[in-house]
Amino acid sequence: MARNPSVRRPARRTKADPELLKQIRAAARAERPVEAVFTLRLPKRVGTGPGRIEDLARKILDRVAHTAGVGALEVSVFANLGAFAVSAPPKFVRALLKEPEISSAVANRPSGEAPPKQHKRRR
Amino acid sequence: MSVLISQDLRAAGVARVIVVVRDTAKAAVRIRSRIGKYFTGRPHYYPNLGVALGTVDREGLAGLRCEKDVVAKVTGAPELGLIRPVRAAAVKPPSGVTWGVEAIAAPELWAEGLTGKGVIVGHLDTGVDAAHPALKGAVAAFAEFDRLGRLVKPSPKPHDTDEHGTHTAATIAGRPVGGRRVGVAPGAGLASAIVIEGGEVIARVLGGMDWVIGRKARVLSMSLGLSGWWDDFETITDRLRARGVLPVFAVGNEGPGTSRSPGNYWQAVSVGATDRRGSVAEFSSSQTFKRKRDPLVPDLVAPGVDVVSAAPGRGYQSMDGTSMATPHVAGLAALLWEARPKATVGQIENAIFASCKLGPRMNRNRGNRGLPNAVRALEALAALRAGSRGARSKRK
Repeated sequence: MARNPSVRRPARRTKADPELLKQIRAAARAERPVEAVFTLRLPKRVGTGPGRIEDLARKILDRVAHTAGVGALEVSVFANLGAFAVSAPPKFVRALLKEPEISSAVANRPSGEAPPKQHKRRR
Repeated sequence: MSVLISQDLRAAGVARVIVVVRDTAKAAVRIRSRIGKYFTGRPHYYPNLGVALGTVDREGLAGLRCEKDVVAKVTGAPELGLIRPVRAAAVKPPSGVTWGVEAIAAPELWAEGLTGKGVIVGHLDTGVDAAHPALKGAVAAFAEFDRLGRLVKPSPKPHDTDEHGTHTAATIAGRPVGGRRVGVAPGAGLASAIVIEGGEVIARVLGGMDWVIGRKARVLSMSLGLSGWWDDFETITDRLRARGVLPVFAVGNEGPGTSRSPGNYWQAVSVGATDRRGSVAEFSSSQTFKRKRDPLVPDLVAPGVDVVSAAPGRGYQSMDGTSMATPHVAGLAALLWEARPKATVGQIENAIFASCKLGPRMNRNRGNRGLPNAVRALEALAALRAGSRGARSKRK
């Protein structure tokens, strides 16, 4: 059965770790970056090479930077695993979670310890 | 100050803390309002325990310590971390083959010329002292990863930030030294990386996993994990297998009814600990999950009590833990891969499982399949290749 190309299939929901969502909220209040690890949805074919995965990750990051109006501060792509880690403003991480190519996302620091603050919150 | 807190403050400028509240009868909302301002983000308060869990910076920590009428104690809150040995003691250099290497019949495969030569074993731990006599020539590659999983450049010389990594590395691939043999696969090469000392974060471990795939490792030995069930590494463990790497992970040292992730995934070879009498160690974790595939962990047990292996420097030490059992199985996989370089991850895994025997002192709920045996594993691998089913496949 042919698919109607005009009907856009709804993007599958990203499975986001509740700890990450908590950290995004806390980081937004404190105006500091969030560290998160994202796993990409990959074609079932194992042959997806590291080079292609790296390109895909960079493409998504550029796209999200464009739409969110803010980019990642630091990025590390794990091309052999189909995953990447970012340190980025909460707005960017939220936007990234909505991307259809993202399979799951977790906080880089599972215990919730925050990355170094860029702005003083108290005093 | 707690070592954990000071480590975290040094590494990240903030620390995860547990705050023990003095008067638990006070309403949670009052306690939160009193101490909440000291945390970066909202702390989680457990009223029945009378403790709050959250993240503080230096100023927040100082503030909490001033609230003496509310706060009884502030301690560090460990989570992701090494599966620390339950016992460690310096020992005289062992003579001959260690009991653990003997127990899985590795010397019988050495006699057939199999030492793991040409096989790379991934080793993600606290590092490794490559200058130890038992590890000379064993470290094929070394790396360190930063908090975002990036390779630290220039790459440091192989070193151990603790003692754990040198011990586990030598159990996998320790070379013979004057008749002493602590390594299961004394010809194998190690791709060893520091991923776990201080400021433990997921990206560091992922950086290490990604790197060992790039180093063409066939096995990944990892004696670390998160206490309890966390599915964060499931997809990644699947991908390790898809890339031809057998994940061999420790199940944990918290006893019956417990386990650690990723050692409790069905996709991993989950390793518990046995002692030299053939009993499952009391500390060895075991747990049954409500899932169709591989509900019971660990998958098997290996020598994990009074395991003598290398200590940083020139010495040796004895340690207890599932961390010590895991490298025995990783070394065994390396021996099998040398024998059958074209075998798949599933075939090596199934051969190891098929070789296991539950000893008379072992309860299945604690030891599952029991102790592997190198000779039977090699036979099972040959049978699998010849088309025999040989073993129950974990993967459908």
